[in-house]
Amino acid sequence: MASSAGAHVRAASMSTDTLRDADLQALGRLQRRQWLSFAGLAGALAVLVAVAVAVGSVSIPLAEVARIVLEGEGARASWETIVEQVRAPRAITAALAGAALGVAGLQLQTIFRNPLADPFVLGINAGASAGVAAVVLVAGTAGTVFAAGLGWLGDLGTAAAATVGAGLVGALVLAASLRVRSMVTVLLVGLMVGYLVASLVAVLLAISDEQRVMQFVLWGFGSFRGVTWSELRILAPAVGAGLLIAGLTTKQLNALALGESYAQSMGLHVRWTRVITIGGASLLAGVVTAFAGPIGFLGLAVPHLARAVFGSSDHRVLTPAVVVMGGIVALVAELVSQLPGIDSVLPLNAVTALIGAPVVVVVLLRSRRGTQGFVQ
Amino acid sequence: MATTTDAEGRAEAQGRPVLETAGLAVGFRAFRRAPLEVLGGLDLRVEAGEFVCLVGPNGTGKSTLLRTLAGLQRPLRGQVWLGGRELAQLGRLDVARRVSVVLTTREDLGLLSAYQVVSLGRFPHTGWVGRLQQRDRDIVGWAIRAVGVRELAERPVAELSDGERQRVLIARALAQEPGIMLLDEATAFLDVSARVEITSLLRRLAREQGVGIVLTTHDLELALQTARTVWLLDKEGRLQAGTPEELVLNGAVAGTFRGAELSFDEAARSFRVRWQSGGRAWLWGGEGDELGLAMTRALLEREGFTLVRGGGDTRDVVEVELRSAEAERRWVVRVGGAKWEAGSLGEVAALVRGSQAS
Repeated sequence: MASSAGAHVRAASMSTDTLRDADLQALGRLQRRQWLSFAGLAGALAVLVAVAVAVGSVSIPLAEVARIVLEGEGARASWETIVEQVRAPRAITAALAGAALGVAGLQLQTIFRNPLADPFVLGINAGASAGVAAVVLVAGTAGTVFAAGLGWLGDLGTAAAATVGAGLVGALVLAASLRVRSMVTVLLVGLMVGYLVASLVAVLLAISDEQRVMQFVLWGFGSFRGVTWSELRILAPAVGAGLLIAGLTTKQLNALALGESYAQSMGLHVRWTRVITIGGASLLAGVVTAFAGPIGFLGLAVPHLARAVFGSSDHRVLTPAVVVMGGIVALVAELVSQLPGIDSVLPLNAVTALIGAPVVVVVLLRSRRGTQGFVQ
Repeated sequence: MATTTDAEGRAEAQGRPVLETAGLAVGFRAFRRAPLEVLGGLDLRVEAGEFVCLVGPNGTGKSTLLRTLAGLQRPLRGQVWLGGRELAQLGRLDVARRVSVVLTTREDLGLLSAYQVVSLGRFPHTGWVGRLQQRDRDIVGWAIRAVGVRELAERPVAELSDGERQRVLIARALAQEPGIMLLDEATAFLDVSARVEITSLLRRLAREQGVGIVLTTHDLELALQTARTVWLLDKEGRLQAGTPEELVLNGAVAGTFRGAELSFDEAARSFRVRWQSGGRAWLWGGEGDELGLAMTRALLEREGFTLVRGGGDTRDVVEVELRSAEAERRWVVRVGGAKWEAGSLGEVAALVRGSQAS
């Protein structure tokens, strides 16, 4: 019943043909080079996590770090605290945030068919910063528990506000994507909402006192520091869920390569795919922004790096590649931001772009994709 | 299935309807407004192995009809059956296994190789990860060969010529294993030879693979020479279906494309541009040189002359005599007593233009 008349004929004509052309068959499989690239990058990520745990402003002997990690106790209690409560969560946060922002960028670049798309275009970051601004500036002046802006409760309050802000903007863009046929319109709606929310934040900043403005500006620098284990208990599952959504929709995202009309003609539920993908990207970007601040650049650059390294537009290759490469880039940025010899820590946002932008330009200019034009 | 021979399979498949419509009306639903009907009352039928060309002037709703048949937009009224099942009752993937499309959208395909683009056609057949099984790879390979793009398989589609790209997209549509393929303007933007190549490829695919094919095109002359069936849309939104010759014979083609400066030459199955008459010309001579005479006549018509026979009142008639020898042609042009000789059609053109100006 399932085989139509046409399929019947084709099955018949195929049997008489010499179809098993090994070269052609091989094109349908992953290439060895891609497996090797992936293995190499996974190794690099593991090394970087180890380095991030071993290195910091307080110098602790490597053997001690290893002992603390493996056995749970070190020569000094302060070292234990530093490794267990500061460095380990920081390294994990960086890896998770890099993966999350990279995947969100990949999803949005595909769904909007625009190589410049990243979480910023949806206004998600703007929504998150509006949430934080509301807590730090408004609630602060109202004298609530957040007023201090210090301590665990205050941080979690900030995170919650950022999540709510990002979620609200995400929901608005989602609603637009259900109503509108053209994805360019959805993109413009996201940008407009972003501007709108950013201007609200600017107004709030103008009427707030200096100290609170400073606090907000510091949050805006972005940082993987200060995320505690208890916060990771929220961040990690949320990022995991977002990555799972991306991992389960690679077939759908691949089908969009030829545009939405073709995808629909192949049986893809286009609107549902939009909702799931924008929703997942909002979750990833929103939760990371909530805990680590608005970190730019990663979402835009990591997908392009992955495409250049793996020479592929296949999301079954790109999604895991972006997870690993996002983690790598974020960890490198974090390590550079605390360069030895400098007392204060550099703003993360400055570092990601400082080291990232030239790398991306070089990679794009050297790759075929970059010089010959690309979308998604 | 593998035991069936080619010929048996084709014989069995031919003649089965892969697409039928009854009272179909297509158009656009507007928000809070009455729907805009573009075409209505369509009773269409495409059989397995049939190659149909849908021809009509711009803006008559060819693309809208095609999109509706493909399930990309909902019909305003009426029914569509794909392979015997009603479109409205079928799930998305079921529709995709019965009908595939080649559209006019031009997407930037980045790094995707021709092979990857063709394998996208397996979307409705693969599992939730989209992994290609052995059978999927077999069918992708078969589609690539059937369309003749084996040597392009590893190349990025972005680097291919327009004609090669269309072939790859046709292979993708074929890899979807549909009962019917719908192609919207698949030969537009192509040069003449590529257009003929693609059209004859489609005709061959329909015959050899037993798939129904509908192609919308502006190229009426090519359609009349290659399609088994022509669907002719006129400006009033009427659709007439029939064999090409039948539609020429009953005047449907000439009627649809008649314009102030255009006429359809039925015997030649081609168009002629009519210019306002710029004078009369009498062409004679050239015994045995059919081509020479034909080209001279074409030149005079293009310059706006009405051809007349000699004799009678010849005062304002431009007389052109063709003298054909071995490998040489000469022309003698006489206008009102004056006489010139020309060694090429270019010179003839200059002379007769001069006579018009005076």
